[in-house]
Amino acid sequence: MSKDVKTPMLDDLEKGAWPSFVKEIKKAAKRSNTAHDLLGILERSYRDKVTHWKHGGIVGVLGYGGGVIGRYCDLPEEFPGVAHFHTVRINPPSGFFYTSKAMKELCDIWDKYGSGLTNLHGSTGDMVWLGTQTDKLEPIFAEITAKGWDLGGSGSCLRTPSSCVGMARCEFSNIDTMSICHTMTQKFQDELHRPAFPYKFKIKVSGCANDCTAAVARADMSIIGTWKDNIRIDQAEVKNLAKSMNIQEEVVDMCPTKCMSFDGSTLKINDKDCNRCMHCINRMPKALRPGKEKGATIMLGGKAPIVTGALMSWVLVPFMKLEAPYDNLEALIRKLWEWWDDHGKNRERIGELVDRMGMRSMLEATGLPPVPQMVKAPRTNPYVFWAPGEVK
Amino acid sequence: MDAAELQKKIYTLVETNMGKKKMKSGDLKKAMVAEGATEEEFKAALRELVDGGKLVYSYFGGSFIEVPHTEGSANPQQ
Ligand code: HEM
Ligand code: HEM
Ligand code: SF4
Ligand code: SF4
Repeated sequence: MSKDVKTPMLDDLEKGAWPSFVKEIKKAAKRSNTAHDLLGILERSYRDKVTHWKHGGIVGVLGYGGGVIGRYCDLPEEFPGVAHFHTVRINPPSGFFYTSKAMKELCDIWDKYGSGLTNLHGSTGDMVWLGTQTDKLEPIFAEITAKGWDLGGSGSCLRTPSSCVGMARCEFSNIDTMSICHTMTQKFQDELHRPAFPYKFKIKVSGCANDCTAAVARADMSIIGTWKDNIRIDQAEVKNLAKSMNIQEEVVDMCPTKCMSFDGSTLKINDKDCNRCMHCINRMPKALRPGKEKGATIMLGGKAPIVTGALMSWVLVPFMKLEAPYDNLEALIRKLWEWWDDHGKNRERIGELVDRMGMRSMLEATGLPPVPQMVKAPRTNPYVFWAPGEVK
Repeated sequence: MDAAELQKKIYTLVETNMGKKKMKSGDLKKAMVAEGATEEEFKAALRELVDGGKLVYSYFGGSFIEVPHTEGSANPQQ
């Protein structure tokens, strides 16, 4: 183990009421030289005001192009414990449900081969293992696969799909988010492990517009559960709730499409104008429920800012019925990938490609009909411009 | 196209471009399809090459296919 280093700047981050990553790394440092040297190099980076990490390169397990993110430090003599500091992504169960036995098994593997530091779960949705060396990767892979686990995605591939807890725990879920997530993960194993895309592609599934996976902001394909028919109203329960809350102010006046009215006893909704935002149902879950004709809105193009600015996903298919084995969803995704594969530049996300080539090219390639709901944001151009030859 | 021949073509294309252009899986696919291979044949051939360790995936802001050489920090192109 390298000599002890003083970490005054890190120590400062242990003060206050909040959980501290410094405290956790110090705990791990008692058992792991990697965690120990991580403290040293972090303090050094804070002092020098530069990062001492380098990244990239050829690192992973035989056959896979993703799942391991290679990291190295530029001071390996001083901090040998973090000369390599690779990250391993473990594909989690849909909805993030583990048994405590499974969790212990995973942690034992990680304590044996890595720093013991984890991130549950990373913003990718994976269980993230932080800090191991190249020669540990194959043994880790052998042990996790023996227990039925697999690596997640990284690089220019389909990233680990993720979903909200859905029907397992949430009464709002309009679709079986966990089944969709699991099915897509199985169908697209090749695309997940063997990067063949221009850049990354993320699929996130939320059971309703509350969007607990933040799919609209983070996923290239955002699948949001919704309903087609009318919100179910229990008027007796509305009357009951009226005693304890101000329905006019808290619900009706807050409806973004102003499609509700309340006369003091009966609540009315003009469902034609409702955009299924979930606000009223969140506020009055006993009185209001989503309709019975359930499915999902499929949205495209969300991403964080890297090459161009951040994009939010916009509507591609206003309503799609989603029933196992979800062949309709698979077919749409494959068509989109084909179009992106044909035209996308290196590091161009699919949303950026739509921006560059236009909606028409994407719609022609996928065979989707242009619909008014495809506006990217309020008050943007709702028109699809046809090629002259197509105008009859 | 014959599987062994296709594998050889893919390998040669990666090898001759080393140091000049980093090849993506998609670049290789387009080149092989232009030579008469199907997409499925290409996928299978590339998988054989990678599973056998003759070619490897690398990551430099995006995923590429390379002939295995020194890893990560020692990579001269980094
Ligand atoms: C001094 C004169 C006017 C001013 C300052 C004015 C200002 C505006 C503003 C600020 C908007 C909103 C733009 C936006 O939110 O993107 C707007 C929208 C609009 N204006 Fe005017 N305007 C004027 C006269 C007119 C006239 C004379 C007409 C028609 C004869 C007109 C037709 C419209 C229409 C159709 C819209 C779009 C409404 C919508 O999309 O909901 N405006 N105008
Ligand atoms: C043949 C005649 C016209 C054509 C082809 C036409 C076409 C268009 C198009 C394509 C847009 C959408 C632009 C965009 O969202 O990027 C637009 C917007 C608008 N046009 Fe026209 N226009 C015509 C006549 C007029 C006239 C006569 C007026 C007013 C007197 C008018 C007022 C407006 C306004 C205010 C908007 C902005 C609406 C908004 O985005 O809120 N247009 N027009
Ligand atoms: S997104 Fe909707 S269905 Fe999923 S957990 Fe959140 S509230 Fe429930
Ligand atoms: S779901 Fe949203 S838009 Fe629809 S009625 Fe309720 S508050 Fe209004």
